[in-house]
Formats: sequence, C-alpha cells, structure tokens
Amino acid sequence: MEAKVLMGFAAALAMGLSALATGWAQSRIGAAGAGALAEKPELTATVIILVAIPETMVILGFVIAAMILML
Amino acid sequence: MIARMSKVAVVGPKRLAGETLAVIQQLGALHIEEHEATSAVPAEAGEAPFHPAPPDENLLTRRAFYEGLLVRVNDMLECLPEVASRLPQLAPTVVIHSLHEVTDRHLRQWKEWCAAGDKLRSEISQLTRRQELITRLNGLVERHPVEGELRLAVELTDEAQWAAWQEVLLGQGDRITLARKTVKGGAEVAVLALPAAEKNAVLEWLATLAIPGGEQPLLLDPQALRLAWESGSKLLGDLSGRLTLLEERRATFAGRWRGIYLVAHDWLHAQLALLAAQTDLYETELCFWLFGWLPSPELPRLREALMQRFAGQVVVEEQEIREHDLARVPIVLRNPGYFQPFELLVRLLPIPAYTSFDLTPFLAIFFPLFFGMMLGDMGYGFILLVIALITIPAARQRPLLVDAAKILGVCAVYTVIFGFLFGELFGAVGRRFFHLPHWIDRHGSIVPMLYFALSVGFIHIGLGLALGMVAAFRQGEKRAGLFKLGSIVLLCLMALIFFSFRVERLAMLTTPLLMVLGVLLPLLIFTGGFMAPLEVLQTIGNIISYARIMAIGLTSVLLAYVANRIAGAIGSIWVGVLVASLLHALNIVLGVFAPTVHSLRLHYVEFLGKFMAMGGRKFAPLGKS
Repeated sequence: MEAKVLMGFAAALAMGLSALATGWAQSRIGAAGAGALAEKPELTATVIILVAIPETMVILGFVIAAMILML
Repeated sequence: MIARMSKVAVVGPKRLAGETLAVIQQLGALHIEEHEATSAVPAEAGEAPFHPAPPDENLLTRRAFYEGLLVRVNDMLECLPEVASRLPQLAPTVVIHSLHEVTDRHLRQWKEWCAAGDKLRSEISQLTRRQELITRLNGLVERHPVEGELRLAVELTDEAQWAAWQEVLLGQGDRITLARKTVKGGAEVAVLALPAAEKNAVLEWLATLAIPGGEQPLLLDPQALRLAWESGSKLLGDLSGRLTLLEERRATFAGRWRGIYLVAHDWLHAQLALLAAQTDLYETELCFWLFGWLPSPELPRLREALMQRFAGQVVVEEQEIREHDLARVPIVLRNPGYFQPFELLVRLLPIPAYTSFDLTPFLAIFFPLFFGMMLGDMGYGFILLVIALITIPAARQRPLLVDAAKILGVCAVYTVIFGFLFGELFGAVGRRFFHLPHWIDRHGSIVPMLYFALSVGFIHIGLGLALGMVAAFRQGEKRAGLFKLGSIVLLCLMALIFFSFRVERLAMLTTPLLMVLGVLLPLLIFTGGFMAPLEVLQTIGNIISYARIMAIGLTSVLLAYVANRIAGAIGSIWVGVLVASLLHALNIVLGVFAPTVHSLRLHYVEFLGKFMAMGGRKFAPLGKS
C-alpha cells in the first residue's frame, strides 16, 4: 500500500512539475511572441510552433508518470 | 522536389539588350543576377572580358518618374474602394501620361470628399443622439407643471459636465435649481428649474456658457420638444441626403477610375522591374551579357522565344555549375498535384539549400498520418471532410485558403481511417449505439499506444537520419555520413536491447548486443567528435517526443468521452444532444489545432534537424512585378 502511495506521489510530481515548467516556458515565449507579432504579423506560424516547443517537457513528464504507474 | 536548375548566360548585340529583357520578362522564367566576378564569390576563370553597363541618365530619369508616379498611384488605390470597374482598353503609355496629369487633383478631390463625409457622419451621429434624447425627455415633462416655473434639460455625457453645471449655477443662488435625473434608456440629464418670468434672460445667459462637450439645454415643454424634434428631423434628412449624394459621387468616381489605376499600377511595376534588371547587364564594346538561373525544363522555352524574336542574334549559353555556385542557386519547388498544397507548410520555413531536400513530400506523407493518429475519430473526420469540401470551391479566389482546405481534406481522410481502426465515432457513441468494431482501444491501452507512438517516432527519426546520411555522402562529407549511419545502427541496437529486456526469449541476446554497443560508441566518437554521445542522447529524446501522438490522442478521446457522459447525465434527450454537440464542436476545434501544431512541430524540430540544410535563395524571376 505504502509503495503504491509513493508511486502515485512520484507520478503526480513528474506530471505536475513538468506541467509547471512548460507553463512557465510558454508564458515567456508567448509574451515575447506577442511582442514579435505586433511588429511582424507574418511570424504567426513560427510563433505558434515556438509556443508548442516546451510542451515536450510535459509530454516527457506524462510518459514518466505513465511508466511509473503502469510498468 | 527541388527543381534542377540551369546556370545561363544570354549574349547578343548591345542594341537588343532592352528588347531581350522584355522577352525574358514576358516569359517570366529567368532569375537574373550579377556575374560571379563582381559578386562575393571569386571567379576562377580570370578577369571577365566584360564590364557592368554604365548607368544611363535616361533610364535613371524614367525610373525616378515611374517610382514617383507609383507612390501616388498606390496612395490613390488605397483610397478607392474595391468596386467593380472596367479595365481600360487604352495603351498603358497613354494612361500613364494622363494619370501623371490628374493624380494629384484626384487625391486632393478624394481627400476633400473624405473630410466632408466624415464631417457629415459626425453631424448625423450627434443629431441622431439629440433626437433620441428629445424622445426620452418627453418622460420628464410633468403633467401638472408648477405655475410660473420653467424647466430645462441637458444630457450629461460624463461626470465632469455635471460638476461644471454645479459650479456654473453656484453663483446664481436660489434663482435656478439643478437636479440630476435618469431618463428612459439610461441616459443621465441635468434638469434646470427657473422662474418663467426670467426665461429670456436665463436663456441668453445660458447661450454664453461654455460647458465642455455640453449642448444647449432643451425646454421641458411638450410643444418646444416637438418643435425641436421636427427641426432636428428636417436637418437630419438634409444631412443624410447630402451624405448619400457624396457617397454616390465617390462610388461613380471609383467605378470610373479604379480600373485605370490598377492597370497603371501593374504597368509601372513591370516597367520598374525591367529597369531594375538593366542594372544587372554587362557589356563589351559591341555586345551585352546577362547572367542568371532558370529551371532546366524552361531552358528550351527561353531559347525558342529568343530565336523566334531575334533569329539567332541573341543566344543562350548553359554554363557549368561549379561547387562554389551551389550556395547561390535559387530554389524552385516542383511537386506533383497531391503534394503541392503542402508547400504552404514548407513556406513557413527558411528555403532549403540546393544540395538538400524538399520537405514537401515528407510533410505530405507524414503530416496527415500524424494528424489522423492524434484525432482518430470517424465523426470528427467526416465533419472536417465536409468543411474542406465546402471550402475548396467557395474559396477559389484565395489560393492559400484552398491549399489549407485541401490539407484539411487529406487530414480528415486519415482521421476517418484511424477512427475506423480505433472504433471511435464521436467518442464511444459508435461502439455503444452502432456496435462498431475496433482493433485498438485508445482509451484503455495507454502503454501499447505509447509503444506505438514511440515506434512511429523511431521510424520517422530513422528516416531523417538516413536522408541526412545520403545528403552527407552526396556532398562528400564521409565522416558526417558515417556518423549518421552509426546513429541509425546505434538506435536499432538500443531498440533490440530494450526488447531483449522485455521479451524473455530474446534475453540471451542482451550481452552480445551490449558488447556491440560498446564497440560502436568509440566509432561514433571518431566520426562525430566528442559531442557524438550527446547527439545520440538528443536523438533518443527526439524519439520520445513522439509520445505526444499518443498523449494528444488520449486527450481527444477523453474529451469526447466526457462530452458524452455529461450529455448522458442530463435528463432531457434534446438538451443532452445540444450539450453533446457543443462539447464535441469544442473538441473538434481543439482537435484540429493541437494535432496541426504538434505534427508540424515533430517535422520542424525533430525530423528536419536530422537532414535538412537551409540557406537556399528565393527564385525571383524577372516578371511583371
């Protein structure tokens, strides 16, 4: 029982911390991207891609959480 | 695909230079550039026998004239509304000289009309507001007015006006009393009550006041209000009539002149492009030379056009493309019909180098595949397909939108296919109500789906590395090619080692595989340098990044599941259907946005970095603009 609680806690940490990190990175990129778009609207697609890049962290966090809980 | 390019020199008698450029412009296939001897790349063949054509004063004068006129024509076109307009049949030169005479007058006239229109609109708006206020003030007229008292009302548009009225009336003692009231519609008014005997004196005094933004008070008397409303209506009708007349005059003017200005605009652009190309001409005592690039299939067309016009006096010579030319070759992408719309996504990236690959075919194959794997729902797929099929004919005038709709159509087909495999139709509705078969249960098979997504990533990244290896060997970079090959072998080995740990029957292979891995690592460091292990780790990270295919797919299916559960929990069937429709619509919007961004990201960041070399130049042929 104790192991299961610890595993759940570890999975939550893996998911939660990576989500926080992604959110923080996206907030910085989003703010800079909005500034760039105000001057160069043609960069819209590039900015969207840039905003999506930090999502790798939360994806990796999700993978780790899934592995902790299910493997 | 990146089209094969030819490097050419066009040579002919000096007197035919202008006409030759006109023929080339008509053809629109030759990217003219300065000769390598005068550019940053040094010529190997020694000093060129020609020199850049000296600037011609006549050309410079024409250029200055055209540029000045183009600025004014652009100003005029910005003013003129997009109305249907007949294109003139007159020769462009006649149109140009006429416009040179009248453009300034037209601009002045148009600005006067605009100013008059703005003034009329402002007056109409103010008057309309006043008329509305008069209608509402009727509610403040008392049925039994106080004998000997007159009441006036004025609208308050802000608090400052109320304060101003209070300040003004402070010195009047009890003679005039002030109250604040709200009329129907929420407008705030100040009501002034004063002795009837002092009406004229007070009205004269009020006329001298300057309340910022305030209008003259209206007498709260039925007859006075009716008269004010009638005179206002008359004035409003008069102003509206004048505005209509002005708009008609402007529309007539735009209909008559817009076509002429458009023709002039295109002609001026063509002439300026031609004049700009003249600065890239070279000459000897008798001949002119010009150099450039064009797609190889266009070379016979250029030769034929020049032969027809000049009967062999102007010739085209195809030159050898040398190694230092490779960085200067302009890039033309030529793809078959199915791939072409995907060039829209490739244009978001820098231009690939001539020795590299065009990303379009890879995007056309893998982008819809990833999209379908993420969204994977027959219902959503059919809806997207219908949207795409409606948009394609409806947006014929907008090629970018048509391309986007075609991409959406292809993605929708893949979404339907994967939806069929997953047995999903608006989430679990298909399985529950139509007993749809399913081969993969995304909702309950998280780990198998994770392995599947990682396998897709393994293949995609492996393909990227293989292309990188081919590109490196093609450019003679053997070590880089060997490093890419080593990376592929290493990835395969690591996959086998993983399976040897997971599958009992393969356990005996673990040790030999680890030994091979141990031998391979020094070879990788030898070919890729000391950063090679880090690059391999990055590649593994790239493969894990493909887990997003499973993760986003899971969010999509869970959102659909939640939509159906919420709808099911509502008692009424119709309200349930409405709620489910709204939630599924939201899921479709998210389901289009997230897979698009993440599929693109997998290509741009993970896949492309393995083989693409950027830095190509845009192909800009001499054309009419």
